[in-house]
Amino acid sequence: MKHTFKQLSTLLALLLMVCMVSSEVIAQQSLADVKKKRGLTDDDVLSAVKTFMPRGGRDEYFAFVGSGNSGTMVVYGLPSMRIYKYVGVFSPEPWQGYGFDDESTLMLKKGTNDNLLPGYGDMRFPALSETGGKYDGKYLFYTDGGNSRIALLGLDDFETKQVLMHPFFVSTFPGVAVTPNTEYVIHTSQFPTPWNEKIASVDNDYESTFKSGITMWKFHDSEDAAGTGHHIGRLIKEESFTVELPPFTLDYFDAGRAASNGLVVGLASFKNNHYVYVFDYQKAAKLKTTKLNDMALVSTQDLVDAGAFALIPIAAPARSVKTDPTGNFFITAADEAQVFDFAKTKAALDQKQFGQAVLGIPTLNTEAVQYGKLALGQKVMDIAFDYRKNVAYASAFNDKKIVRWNYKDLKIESELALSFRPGHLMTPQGNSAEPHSNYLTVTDKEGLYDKHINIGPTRPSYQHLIDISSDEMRDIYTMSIPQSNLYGSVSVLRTTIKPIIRYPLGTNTRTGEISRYRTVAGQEKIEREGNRVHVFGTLIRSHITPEIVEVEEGDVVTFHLTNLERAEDETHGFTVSTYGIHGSFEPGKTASLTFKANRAGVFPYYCTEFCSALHLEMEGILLVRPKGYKPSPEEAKEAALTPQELEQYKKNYEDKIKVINETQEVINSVVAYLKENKYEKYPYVEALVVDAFDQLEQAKTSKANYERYAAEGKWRDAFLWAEQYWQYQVKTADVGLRAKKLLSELINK
Amino acid sequence: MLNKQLNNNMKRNLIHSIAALFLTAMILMLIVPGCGKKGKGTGGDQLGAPYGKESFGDVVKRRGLNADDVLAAAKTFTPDNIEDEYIALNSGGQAGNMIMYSVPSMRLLKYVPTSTKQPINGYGYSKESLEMLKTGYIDGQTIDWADTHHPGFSETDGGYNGRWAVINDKANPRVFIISLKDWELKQIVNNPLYRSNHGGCFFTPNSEYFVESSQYPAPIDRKYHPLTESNFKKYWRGGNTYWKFDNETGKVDEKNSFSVEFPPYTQDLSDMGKAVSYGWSFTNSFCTEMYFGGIESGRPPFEAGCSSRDVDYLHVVNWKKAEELVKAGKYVTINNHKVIPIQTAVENNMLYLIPEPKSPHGVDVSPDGKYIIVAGKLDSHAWVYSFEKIMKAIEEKNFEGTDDFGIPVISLETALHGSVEVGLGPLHNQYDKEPGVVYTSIYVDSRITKWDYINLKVLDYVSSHYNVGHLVAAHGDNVKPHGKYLISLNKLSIDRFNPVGPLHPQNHQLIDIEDGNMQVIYDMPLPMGEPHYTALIHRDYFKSEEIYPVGTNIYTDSKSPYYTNIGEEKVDAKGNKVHIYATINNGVVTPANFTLKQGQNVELHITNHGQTNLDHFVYEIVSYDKMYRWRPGETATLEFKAEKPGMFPLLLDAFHSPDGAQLQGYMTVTFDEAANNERLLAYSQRVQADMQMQAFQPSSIEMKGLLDGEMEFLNYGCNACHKFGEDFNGPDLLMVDKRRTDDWLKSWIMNPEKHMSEPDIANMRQRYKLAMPNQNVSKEDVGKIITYLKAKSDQYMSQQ
Repeated sequence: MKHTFKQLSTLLALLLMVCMVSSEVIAQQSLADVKKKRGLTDDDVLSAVKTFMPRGGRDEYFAFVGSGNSGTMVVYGLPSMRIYKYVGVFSPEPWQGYGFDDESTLMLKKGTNDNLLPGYGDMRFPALSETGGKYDGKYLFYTDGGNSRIALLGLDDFETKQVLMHPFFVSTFPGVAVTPNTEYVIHTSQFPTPWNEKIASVDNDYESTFKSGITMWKFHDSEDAAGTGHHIGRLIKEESFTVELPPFTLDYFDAGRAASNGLVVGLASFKNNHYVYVFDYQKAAKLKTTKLNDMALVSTQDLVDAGAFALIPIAAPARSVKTDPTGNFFITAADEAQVFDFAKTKAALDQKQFGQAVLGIPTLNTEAVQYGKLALGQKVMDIAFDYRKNVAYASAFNDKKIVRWNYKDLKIESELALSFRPGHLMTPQGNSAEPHSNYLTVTDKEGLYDKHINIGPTRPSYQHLIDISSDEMRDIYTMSIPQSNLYGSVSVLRTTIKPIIRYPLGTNTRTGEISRYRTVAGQEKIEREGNRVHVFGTLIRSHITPEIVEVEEGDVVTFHLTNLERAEDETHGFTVSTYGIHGSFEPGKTASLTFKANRAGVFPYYCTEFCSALHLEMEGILLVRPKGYKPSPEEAKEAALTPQELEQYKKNYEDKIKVINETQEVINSVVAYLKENKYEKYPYVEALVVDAFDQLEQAKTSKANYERYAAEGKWRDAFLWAEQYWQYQVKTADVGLRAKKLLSELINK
Repeated sequence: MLNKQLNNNMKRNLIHSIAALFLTAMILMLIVPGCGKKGKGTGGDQLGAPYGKESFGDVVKRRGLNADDVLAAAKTFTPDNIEDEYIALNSGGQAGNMIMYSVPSMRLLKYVPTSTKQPINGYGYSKESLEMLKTGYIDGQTIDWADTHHPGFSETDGGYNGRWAVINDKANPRVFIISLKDWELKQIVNNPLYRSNHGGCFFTPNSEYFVESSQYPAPIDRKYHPLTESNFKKYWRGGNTYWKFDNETGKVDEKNSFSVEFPPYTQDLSDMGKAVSYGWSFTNSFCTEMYFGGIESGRPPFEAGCSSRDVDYLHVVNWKKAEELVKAGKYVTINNHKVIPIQTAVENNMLYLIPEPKSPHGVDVSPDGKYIIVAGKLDSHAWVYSFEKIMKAIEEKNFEGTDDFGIPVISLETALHGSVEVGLGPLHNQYDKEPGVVYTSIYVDSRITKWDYINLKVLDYVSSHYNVGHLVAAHGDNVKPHGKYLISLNKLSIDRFNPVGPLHPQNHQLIDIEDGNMQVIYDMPLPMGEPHYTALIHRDYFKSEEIYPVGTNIYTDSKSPYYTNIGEEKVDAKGNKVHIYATINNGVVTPANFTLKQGQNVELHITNHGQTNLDHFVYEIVSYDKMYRWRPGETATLEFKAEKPGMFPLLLDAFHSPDGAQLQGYMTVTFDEAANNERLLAYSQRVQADMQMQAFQPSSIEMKGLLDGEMEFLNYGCNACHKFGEDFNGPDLLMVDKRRTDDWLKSWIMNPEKHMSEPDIANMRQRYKLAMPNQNVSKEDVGKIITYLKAKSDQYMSQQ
C-alpha cells in the first residue's frame, strides 16, 4: 500500500513539475526517459532536485574544509556541493601567486622561526570568527599540525593574511577554536616534546622534561573594514600567552559560550588514561608570566593554584568534545557519549573540589560534573548539533550509521544506515550559538565505490550530504574533494560573508593597505641602482607597461605590478619565461616579483590569465644583456621605411578608420539598447556598462596619437595607433555585448 | 511578429501552468496527507529551521526550478550506484597541474601534479619526486610551477588508446607525460630551442610523434641579441618540435626527435592530420607582422601591431617528409637537437603557408581528415580549408608568392572550401558524431555555434556563460567523435556562483548534445587554476590500477634500490651521511625512533608494504617540514639535513581513515656546535636574500605592538642570534647602548669585518664561535635598529 502511494505521489509530482513549467511534450517524455536511461529512482530524482543548482543560483551556505596535509583552504557550497576555491594557506600555490610573489613569500617566511618557506601544513579543524557567539563572516582560522603554525584568512577577499609559527611548540593539534567574541584564538600542542630544541629520554625524563601547553593568541580586530575594504584584524603575539602543562597528549578542544564563556574544554591523555581538560583562560590571563622565545608563559603551578585548570577522567578515549549551542553542556564523541554540565564543572573548578592529581594537575569528580551518558554505537567519530533543541548527531564508523539523539533526554531519536563508514560531521553554523538544520555533511575517507571510475591509486576524499530537514534522514549527495585529506568543516550562511570584488588601486593584499609600489597609469618607470632594477609596471586589457625591459646579466630585478582594472573578474597573471616566478593580480592589486637575471638571453613575459580577445598579445620582452656586451654598429641601426611601404601604411590607416567608424555604430546600437532598457536598474549590468565606458575612455590617448601622426604624415605610427584605438573598441563591444546579453536575460525572466 | 508569437506562447504556457499547478496541488492534498506541511518539531519559516518533509513538487517550488533545471538535474545527478561516463582531463593553467573531473556528475577527482609541488600527492616532497621535478628545471633555474595548456591523449588509429596523456607548459617550454595506468607523472621533456610554447600537445594518429609548437618567438640560439627590427627577423624564430614517442613505454626519444624551424611569427595551436591528411600537421600563427611593442617608449603596444594585418598564416608541414630529411641527415644541430632549417624545408617541399583569418586560435582537422577548420578571434567567420585543394595547389605549385623567408604561400582562394559567419570571436572547434557537424566556441558573443562545415551553414547555437575559450566534445578531436557531451570552458564566472573575493573560479558548462539539441545542463566552478583546454575520454578506454608491487618507485615504475623488506629495517650511518631503511606495515613504522647528530645528511627510505587500496599513509617529521604520502607498495625517500636540534614527533596518518595521525616515535637530533653555526649562517644568508625582495611590512595593526625599529631588527634577522636579558647564539643586547657608542654600533652593524681584530670582539668570537655577519644594513635602517636597541632595553628594565 505504502509503495503504491509513493509511486502515485511521484507520478503526480512529476506531472506537477512538468505542467508547472512547460506544456511541451518533449519535456514530459524527457524526464521519464532520462530516469529510465540512467537508471534513476524516484528518490534519486528527489535528491537531484534538492542539490542541483540552476544556472546562476546561489548556494545557501559557504563551507570551509579541514583539508589535512594539503595545506590549502577548500571552499564549497551547500547544497550544490560544488567547490568554489582552493586558497593557499600553509603550502605555496602558484595560481594565486601564493608563496611565489614577494608579499606572500615574505609573509610566510617571516612568520616562521627560522626564516624558511615551509612546503606544507596539516590543517584539520578550522574555526570561523565570532561576535556574540555567532559567526560574523569576517575571518577564518586554521592551525598547522605539520609545522606548528596558525593562520588567519580574510573572508573579504578569501586570502591568507597572517601565518605565524608557534614560538616553541614542536607539535600542535591541527585544530583551532575561537572565544565567543574572537578575543582569543586557541592553539594547543598535540604530542608532548621538550621545548627550546632540548632533547631528553622518553623512558627516563618524560614526566620532567616533555611538555604540553595551550596558547591563547590575542586577536585584535578593527572596528570597520579599512579604507581598502579589508578587515585587517591580526593575531598579536605581544599580547598573547601560553600556559605550560605536563606531558599530556592533547586532542580536540572547544570553547565555552554564553554561560560557559571563559572556559575551554579539550581532550587529554597520558599513558592510556583519558581526560577532558577544563581551562579557565580568563583566570589564566591575570596570572604573572615569564617570557619564552618572546611569548608570555604561565607556569603550571600558578595555573593550578589559581583554580584555572583541571582534568575530568573519562572511561574511554573520546574522539571529539564539543560545546552545545546553548553553552550549558559539553559532550564527548565516544562510543558512550558523556554529557557534562558546564555550570557544575565551573563551580567545581572555582571551588577547587579536586580529587587526586595527575602529573600535578588536579582532577574533578566525573560523576559530580556529568549530566548523563548514552551509548551511541561502535567507534563514534564525531558529534554535531542542529537547529532542533537538544538534538545532536553522531557518526558511528564501524556501524555505518548516523544517530540522531537528544542529549537532554538521553534518548536516540532515529538512525540512518549508510553505505560507507562515516567520519567527521558538520552542520551549517554548527559550531556556533545558532546551528542550522536541513543539511549534515559526513566525511567518507575510504572512498570505496564500485561504480566510480578507477583513476589509479590516488583518489579523492569524499563527503556525503545528508538531508536532515525532516524526521527521516536521507543521504542525498556524494561529493568528491581532491587535494584534501579530509577532516572537519565549518559552514556559514552565505549572506553573512560579504566579499569584495576589487581592491582599491594599489592594494598590498597581505597587509590590506596601499602598497608603496602602487603604480598608476602613466607613472610606469624603471629604476636602477647598481645591479638592482625595480620595474614599476601596470596591467590592463591587453598590455603590460612597460613592454620591453632590458637589464644586465646578474641584475636583481623586481617587477612591481599593479592591475589597473576595475571590472569584476578581470584578473591578470604575470610570469617571465623560465625564471620560475608567477603572480596573480586581481583588479586593483599590487604585488612584486623578484628574481636574479642570472642568464643572458631573451625572455618573453606575458599575462597568464585569459583576460580578453587579445590576451595572447598581452606580452613583453625581457632582454638580459651579457655582462660587458657591446653592440656592433650595424646591430643598432634600423632601416627606414621605403616610400612604397609608407604608401601602404597610409592605405591601411584609411581602411582602419573606416572599420573604426563601423565598429562605433555597433557600439552605439548596443548603448542605445542598454539605455532604452534602463540598464542602470540592474547592478551587474551597470557594472559591465561602466567597464565598457572605461575601455572606451582608455582609447582617447590612442585617438590623439593617430590623429597627430596622421597629420605629421607618419603613416605607420598613425595606422598602429588607429589599430590600438580599434582594439579598445573591440573590448568595449565585448563588455557591451555581455551587458546586453545579461540585460535581455534579466528582462525576459 | 516573432516577438508576438513568443509572447503568445509564453502566455499560453503560463495559463497551462497555473491551471495544472492548482489541479495537481488539489489532488496531492487529497491523497498525500501531510504533503506541503512542515515536519514535526520545526521552527516554521525561521532561518535555519528544518524545512520539514517535502515532496518533489515542494522542493521544485522552494528552489525555484523550471522544467529544464529538473531535466538537467536528472541528467547530471549521479548516485553511487550509477557510473559516470567520461573523465575530463584539463590543463590547470597557472596552477601547474592537470585537473580531472568526471562527466556528467561534474565531480572533481584529482589534481595530477606536473611541476607544482603538491603535498597531498607528496609530489616534490620525496627525493624521488623531487628528482623528477628537477628534470624540468631549465638552465639550473628552480621552476616549481608551470602554465599548463593543452592536454592530449595518445592515439592508435586516430582514436584514444587510453595509455598516456601529455601536456605542455607555456611559460617554461616543456612537456609532461602522464601514465593513465596510475595517472601519475612519468617524464618531463624540456624544449631545447624555445622560450615559450603553446601548440601542444597533439599526437599523430599512431602516436609516432606529438607536436609542441613555440609561441612567443625568441632567438633560437637562446643567446642575447639587441632588439631591433632587423635582428628580430634575423635571430628570432619559432618552430614545431616533433617529439618521437614510444606508445609502449611512454618515453620520448629525444635523440630521434626533431624540430622544423618557423619564421618569427607567433605560433599558436596545432593539429595533426589524420586519415587522408595523415603525415601532415597544421599550425596557426598570429603576429605575422613580426611586430614588437614598446609602449613605454612611445611605440604602439603589441596588441596594436600584432593584429594589424588582415590575415595571418596557417603553417602546413609534411612531418613524414621531415622525418625522412632527418634520417638523410638534412638538418642542423642546435643545443644538441636536430632542426630542419626553413630553407631546407622549403627546398624539400615540406613547408607551406596559407593565409588564415586574423589572430586565429583553434586549428582543427575533421574526423575524416579532409577538412581543416580555423577560427580567428578577430574575424566573425570560421574558415574551412580543403586538404584535397591544398594538396592540389602544392602539386601544381600554385602559389601566390612567398613570405619574407621564402616559404611558398598557397592562396586562400585555392585552398579554401568555404567560410561561415559563426559569430564574434570564434576560437576553437570540436566535432560531433554526425558527419559534417562541428561546434565552435564564440568568445565575444559568448555562445557555442553548431554548424555544417561541408554545406557551410549554421545549424544552431546555444548561449554559454561569458567569454568561452576552448570547448571540448567527447572524443571530439578523434576519428570517431562520440557526440553526447560538450563542455564550454568559460573564462569568466561573474554572477554565476557564490562570491569568493576578487579572484573568481572558472566556469565549465556541461552541454547535452546527444539528441541533436544543445542544452546547458551544469555550471561547474573550477576552484583552482585556469584550464585552457580539456580532453574527454570515455571510461572504457583506459584501465587503471590502484596498487603497486611492493617496493615501487612510482616515478620510474621500477623496483626501488631502497626497497626494504619487513625485518630488514636498519640504520646505516657513514660519517655525515645516514641512510635509514624503514617499513610501514599494518599501520606501524619500523624503526619507530631514530637519533641523528645535528648537521647530518639523512635519507629516510620507507617501503609501504600495504597492498590494499586503503593502504595509503602520510608519514611526517613534525616541525621539520618533512612529509610524504606513500601509496600501496610504494618506496620513497625523505631526504634532508638535520639542521635543527631537538626532539620531533614522527607521525603516521592512514590517509583513508578518519582516526588522525598516530605517534610512532621521535626523531632526536643532538646538538652540534659547528652544525649550529652553519645553520645560523644559512639563516643569515636567507635573510639577506629576502632583503633583495623588499623589507617585510606587517599590517598597521601588528605594527602597533612593535617598538620603533623592531621591524628592521627582525627584517635583518638580528633576532636569530640576539636576545635581551639573556645570552643566545650571540651576546645579550640588554643595555648595549650603554656599553658602546652610537657611532661604534653603527660602524659595527654596517661593517663588522672592520672590527674583528678589536680584542673584545676577538674574545666574543671565541665565546660564541660565530662571527657577526654583514647583513648589508642600509644607512637609513641602522639608525632605526640602534633606536630599537635603546627602546627595547628601556622596556625590559621597566618591566623588571
